[in-house]
Amino acid sequence: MIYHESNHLSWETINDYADARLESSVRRDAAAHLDRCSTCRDVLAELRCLLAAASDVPDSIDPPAPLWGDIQRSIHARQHAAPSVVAKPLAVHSAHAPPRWGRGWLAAAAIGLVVMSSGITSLVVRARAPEATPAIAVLPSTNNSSTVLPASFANAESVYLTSTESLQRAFERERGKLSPKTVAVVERSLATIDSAIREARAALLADPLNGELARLLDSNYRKKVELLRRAAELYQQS
Amino acid sequence: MTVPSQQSSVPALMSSPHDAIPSASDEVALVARARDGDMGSFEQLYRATAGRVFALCLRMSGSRQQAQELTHDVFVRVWEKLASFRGDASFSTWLHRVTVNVVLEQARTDSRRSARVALAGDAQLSHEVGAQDDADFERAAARGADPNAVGRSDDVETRIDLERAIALLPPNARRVFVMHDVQGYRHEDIANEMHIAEGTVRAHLHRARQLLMERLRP
Repeated sequence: MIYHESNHLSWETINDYADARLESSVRRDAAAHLDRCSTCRDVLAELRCLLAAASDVPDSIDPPAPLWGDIQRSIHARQHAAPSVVAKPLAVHSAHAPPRWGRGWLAAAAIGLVVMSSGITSLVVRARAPEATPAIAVLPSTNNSSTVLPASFANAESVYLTSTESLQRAFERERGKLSPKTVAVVERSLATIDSAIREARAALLADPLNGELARLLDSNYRKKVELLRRAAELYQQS
Repeated sequence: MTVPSQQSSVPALMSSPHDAIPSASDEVALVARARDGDMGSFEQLYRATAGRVFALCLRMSGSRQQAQELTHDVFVRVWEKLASFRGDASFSTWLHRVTVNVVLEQARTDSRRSARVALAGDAQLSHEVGAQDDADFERAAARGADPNAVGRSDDVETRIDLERAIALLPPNARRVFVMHDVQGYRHEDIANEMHIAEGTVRAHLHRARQLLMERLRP
C-alpha cells in the first residue's frame, strides 16, 4: 500500500521513490500519482533538496591542531607500556565555547556513574571468586599482588590526580554559587566515582598486566575530570 | 533536481581537491614506511586523511569533543593494525572502515553504559523509538544547538543549519542518515555495520529525513 489514508503517497513511498527502491509497477503507480498531485510533488522536491544538500556537505573538516600530538603521545605510550595499557589524553582543548549543561545532566551523570560502578564492582567480585565465571578474562597474575601500578599508567594517574585536585579545590571554593540540590548531586556523583576508582585501582594492583582493568581505571579518572569540569562550567555561568 | 544515484558499497574517504594528498604510489610507500615504524610517514598519512576522518566522526557523533576522541582512537588503532593491512583495498577505503567501526563500537559501549533497553525489532522501533526520538529531538532543538556541535565554520548559512540539524538528530537516526545520505552506504551495508535489520535502517533513515525537513523549514 503506497498511499497514506489521505490518498496521498505515504512518506515511506516518497522516500523509496527518491531512493529508486520501488518495484517497477509500484514506481509507475507512484509516478502517475505524482503527475497529478502537487502536494506530493512538493514533498518529493523538498526531500530531494535535502538529499542534494546532504551529498554536498564538505568531505573534510580540520580537526584541532593539538590532536596529532595527542595521537603521537598515545602511540609512544603504547609502544613502551604493558599490553594495551595506555591513558587516553584528557579532552583536547577546543577553540569553541564549552557546552551549556543543564542541571538535569548532573542527575543523569550520577545515574550513569552508579551503573558503571556497579559493573566494576561486579567485575572485581567475580575476579576474586575462583569458581565464578569472570565477566572478562581476568587471569590471576603469577606474582603476588603488586603495590605499584604499571609505570605508564602511574604517569597518567599522576596527571589525573593533579587535574582532579585542582578542579576539586575550585569546586569547594565555588560551591556556594550552586543550588544545594546541584551540590548534592555533584557530591554523590563524586563519591560514586571515587568508589569506582578505588575498586578498579585495587583490581589493577592485583593484576597489573590486565589491560582491560587499566582501561576501566583510565575511563573512571576521565569521567571524574569531566564531571568536575562541568561543575565548574555551572558555577562560572551562575 | 537529480535523483540520487545508486548507492555504492563501502565508500572510500573521498579526496578533496584542496588537500595535499599523496598519489596512490606515494600512499603505498608511506603506508609501507609507517608499517616499519616511521612516524614521519604516518604523520603524512594523518595530514592527508585526518580531515575526512574527523568530518565523519563529527557528523556521526554530533559532538566536536567526541569527534576529537574518536579521531584520536581511529589513528591509534590504524597505527596498531597497519601490519594487518594487506593492501587489497586502498588505504583510504580501509581507513574509512576503521573509522566507522570505531564510531559504532563507541556508540554500542555508550549504549550499554547508559543501560538503555535494546530495540527488539522493526515494529517496536517505529512505534517506541519514533515517539521518544521526536521528544528528544524537540527538546534538543528547543535548547538550541550545542556550541560543541557541528556547524561552527564559515560555511553558508544553509549548510550550517543542515550540519546543526544533523547534530541534533537522535543518535541512531543520525548515524544512518550520515552513512546513507552523506557517505553513500547502501541499506544492507549499514545494517551489517550497525548490527540491525535493513527494515530498521530504513525506518531510521526516513525518520531522520522527516525530522531534518521539519527542522529546516523556514
